[in-house]
Amino acid sequence: MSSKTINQVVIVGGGTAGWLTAAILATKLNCRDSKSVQITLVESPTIPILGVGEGTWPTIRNTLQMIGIDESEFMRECDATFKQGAEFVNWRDTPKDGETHSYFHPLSAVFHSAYDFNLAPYWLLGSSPLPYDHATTSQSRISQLGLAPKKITTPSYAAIQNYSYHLNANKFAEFLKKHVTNKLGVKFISANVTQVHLDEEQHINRLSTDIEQDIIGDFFVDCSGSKALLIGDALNVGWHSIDDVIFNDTALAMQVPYPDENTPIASHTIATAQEAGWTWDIGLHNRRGVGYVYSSRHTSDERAEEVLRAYIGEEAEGIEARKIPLNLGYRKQFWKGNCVAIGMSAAFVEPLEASAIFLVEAAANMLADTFPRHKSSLGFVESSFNKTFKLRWDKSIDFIKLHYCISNRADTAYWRDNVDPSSIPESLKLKLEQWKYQPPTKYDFDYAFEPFVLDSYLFVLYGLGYSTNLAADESRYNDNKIAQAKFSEINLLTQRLVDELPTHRQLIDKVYQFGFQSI
Amino acid sequence: MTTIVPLDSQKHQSLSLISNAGYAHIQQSHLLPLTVHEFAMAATNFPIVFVKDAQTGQFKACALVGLKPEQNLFSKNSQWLGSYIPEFAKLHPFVAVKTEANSDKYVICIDESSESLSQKGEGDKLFNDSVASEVLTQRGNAAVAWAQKSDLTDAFIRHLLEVEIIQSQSLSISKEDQSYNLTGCYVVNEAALNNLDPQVFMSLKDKGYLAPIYAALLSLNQVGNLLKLAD
Ligand SMILES: Cc1cc2nc3c(=O)[nH]c(=O)nc-3n(C[C@H](O)[C@H](O)[C@H](O)COP(=O)(O)OP(=O)(O)OC[C@H]3O[C@@H](n4cnc5c(N)ncnc54)[C@H](O)[C@@H]3O)c2cc1C
Repeated sequence: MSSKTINQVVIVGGGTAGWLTAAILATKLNCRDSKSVQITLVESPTIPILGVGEGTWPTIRNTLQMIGIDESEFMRECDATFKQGAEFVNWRDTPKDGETHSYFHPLSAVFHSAYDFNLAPYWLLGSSPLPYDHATTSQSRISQLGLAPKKITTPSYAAIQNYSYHLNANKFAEFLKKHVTNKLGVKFISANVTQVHLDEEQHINRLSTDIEQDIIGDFFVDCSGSKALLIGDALNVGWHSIDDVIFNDTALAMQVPYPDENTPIASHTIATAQEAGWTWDIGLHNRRGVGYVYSSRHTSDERAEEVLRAYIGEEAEGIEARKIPLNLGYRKQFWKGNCVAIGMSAAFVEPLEASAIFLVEAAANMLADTFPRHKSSLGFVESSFNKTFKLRWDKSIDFIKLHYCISNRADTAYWRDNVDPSSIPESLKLKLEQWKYQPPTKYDFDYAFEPFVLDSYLFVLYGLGYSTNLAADESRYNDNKIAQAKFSEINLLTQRLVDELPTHRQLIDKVYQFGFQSI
Repeated sequence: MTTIVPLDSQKHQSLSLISNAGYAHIQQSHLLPLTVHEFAMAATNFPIVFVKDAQTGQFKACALVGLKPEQNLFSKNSQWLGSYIPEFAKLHPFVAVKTEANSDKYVICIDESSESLSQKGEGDKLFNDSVASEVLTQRGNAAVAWAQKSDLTDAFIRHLLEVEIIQSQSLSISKEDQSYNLTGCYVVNEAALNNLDPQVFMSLKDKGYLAPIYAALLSLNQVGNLLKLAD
């Protein structure tokens, strides 16, 4: 084969991004075949992985199934539980005297508004007495009641209500490593990369390490996390900061054990708005992952820790909080020459909608599906990859910002600054303007790889009480009978599911004890 | 309501067993557990299906003895209407339960609520001065033997799942004006069996699984037998 062929792929970094990318590439490119590309993953034995990132998207089910992982085994080994969405507490208004309010952003919509009939205008016109999240899907209620998204008799990976997982990030990386190196033919090297060498075309061709041999490659994937060894240090690609839009630049994380083994496990992430950010609360099998993401411009670390401890209560006593600085933004180029960055090295927004792992999967899938076996194809893929991921990140940023910029909270400078028009991207402003007199439609989300689609926007907009005034336009919504029928169908389904589904804790215990069947 | 408790020579000292108590305990069961050793015989009477236990999600092999839940067409006025009675039906009121998940030790349990047990000395005593009677020893051994065969059956089913020859099939059965629809049943799929890689197929032969697989396949024709009994 000519030297113009790409045969050796080197992945630097063994965090969630590195191992997921290795797994997806190795499966899709069929690396067990000697004629395929060969993948090597190099990881530092001394630099720990980030080890947070416990929330995923339902796409992870396809990914895990595709790479040949047994669902029950994965769940047991990664302390995983089911995630049915997120509950947003106190985002809409300033909470009064200890009262709380919330809305759900579930993963299932019974009737996908984008496909057939959009219930939103009918809900806006008062066709249902329930809040939007409960009127248009059963899953909000199911999650609220602590019920599971499926039964022990439901086959692996199949769902009754759409779901993803909450998982232990460190265990997940370990689990993937075992699978990828044992079953998918990926070579593993434990070493610190000390130097990155470029050829005359400014392509990376070799990595020096602190063990004897250099690592030679034709194509490199930078999964080195915030270090960005290749894309940043070696290739000098700049960083587009978004701290003028998203303010949360610091996180404090804690691992809180359950008081006992019968404590109910929440089947959704609980995201509670606080004075200078929000707290996440994620229920794993054996503990909760709780943390506070906040703006260091609006609060101090000491005060932030107080807020976090107050949220957790006495269970936080004696537990240390880990501080994690967040660098918000994305690379000006994700792909340059023969190197692509995936994971924290490429971008990070803030974990509000838990989209980082999802975007890792998306990037690895695109890399695999368009993989350039010949060097002459590099330019084309580089430009399409960069274009699409810039769009996806911009769209993710718009969606995250939406949660802040239409909130009615005004109790602190943090919330007031967040609605300042100068902090809102133009693309989002235009949409919000349009949605003042017309609810969102599928035409507002026409990009093929839109990370957040119509249903997600509807849950957030109407969960936060965004006002869409249809008074002048009522006449066109004359299918009230159909809407009524659909609302009652959802109610009936909710009732049936409430009768049928086990609690989340019950199902988790059964999955750990017995496991799901494959069919 | 069944109340299964470990047998205790003190607590259950005065109990005795009425041996011809009939089939009241399975009167309301349309599915009866089978072991793989029984497939050949069972196939001459009932469809053999695989169903998931609602509590554990694990597959069990069962004889389908009714066309809808809570219907047992084979049990009528203390009589059994077939030429074959599943061994499980004859264990009652005894069950052997493993002491621990992966142990090979069993404890014998009884269903205290069973109508085949008497406090008044009818039938055979379970204990003679706290020592297990001959009847109890024999019935206890039978329960353990069944539990062991049931383990082998689980291994058999796991293998069939692994080689992907079991598939979900809702049984729609209709005859003239009557129609029945049974969901949650899984059966051996003939096409999948025929399409197996020769090596995989030979591994089934080597394990002695072919006979029960074909028995299960043929047994599906016994749906006709159920319809006849339902008339
Ligand atoms: C507070 C917080 C909450 C989050 N919550 C979520 C969430 O809910 N959902 C979600 O999807 N995402 C979440 N994320 C993001 C998620 O954690 C990351 O996307 C994910 O961990 C991927 O990280 P990574 O693999 O890119 O980097 P890392 O985990 O940092 O891995 C970097 C790897 O590079 C290696 N490395 C570094 N330098 C060298 C060297 N010189 N030589 C060799 N190897 C080297 C390291 O050893 C390590 O293996 C969250 C992030 C934060 C900060």
